[in-house]
Amino acid sequence: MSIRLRNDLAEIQRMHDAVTAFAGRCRLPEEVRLALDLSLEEVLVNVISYGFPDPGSHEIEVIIRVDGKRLTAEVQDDGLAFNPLEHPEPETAKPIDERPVGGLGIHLIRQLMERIEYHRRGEKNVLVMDKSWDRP
Amino acid sequence: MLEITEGKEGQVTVLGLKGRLDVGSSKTLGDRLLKVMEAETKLVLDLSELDYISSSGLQVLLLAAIRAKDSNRSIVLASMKPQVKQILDYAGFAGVFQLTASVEQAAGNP
Repeated sequence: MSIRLRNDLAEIQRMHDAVTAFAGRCRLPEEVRLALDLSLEEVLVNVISYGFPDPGSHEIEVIIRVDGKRLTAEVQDDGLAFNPLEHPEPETAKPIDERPVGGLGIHLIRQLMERIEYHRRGEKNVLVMDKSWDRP
Repeated sequence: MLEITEGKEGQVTVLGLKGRLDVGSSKTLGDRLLKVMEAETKLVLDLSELDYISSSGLQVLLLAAIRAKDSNRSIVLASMKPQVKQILDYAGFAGVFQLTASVEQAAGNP
């Protein structure tokens, strides 16, 4: 499936609804559905919040494929070049008043997905995330 | 969608969260926590009907925890589902919040 979203945080609800419907059609395991839903929210919040300093409207494309027991999700946007994998890991072991609030999104994606790749393709950011299930 | 209910367990105020704590609903919870915490020294969040939490929700809880600590108040997270517990664990919340299996337990501990 693929869905095109505007750079508006309100669009994330539409993504959640589309992922829920897609997961039902493909009978994704609950754990995989949740990982997909949450990872996409984290990516989209980042892209929409920080990717577009201009006031114009932009389109973000989300493409999700299932091949056997492997899920691949790709997010493409034409915002500022940003590789989330270069973001430092948050210090989740630190006491509460010593840790910066924020930076948890990419940390969660790293925990939830198996493989994450970033490419700058022309004027676009392309983030690809994989997860498989029922592996021995 | 996030539904917030307010009740009491003994003398302790309990906020029940139902549904999804995501980028669309986290501000609603943040505003509510600010208000409720003004009047309480201890607050329990009943997460038994919370299905989903993203980093936006985690940040609201972290900010509330920092405010609570600064003013000698406490927030206890109770009765979360396994998928929510997993996200809290990934974020390292066990070292930040008291997490309990039940609301009764959360309200009873000093």
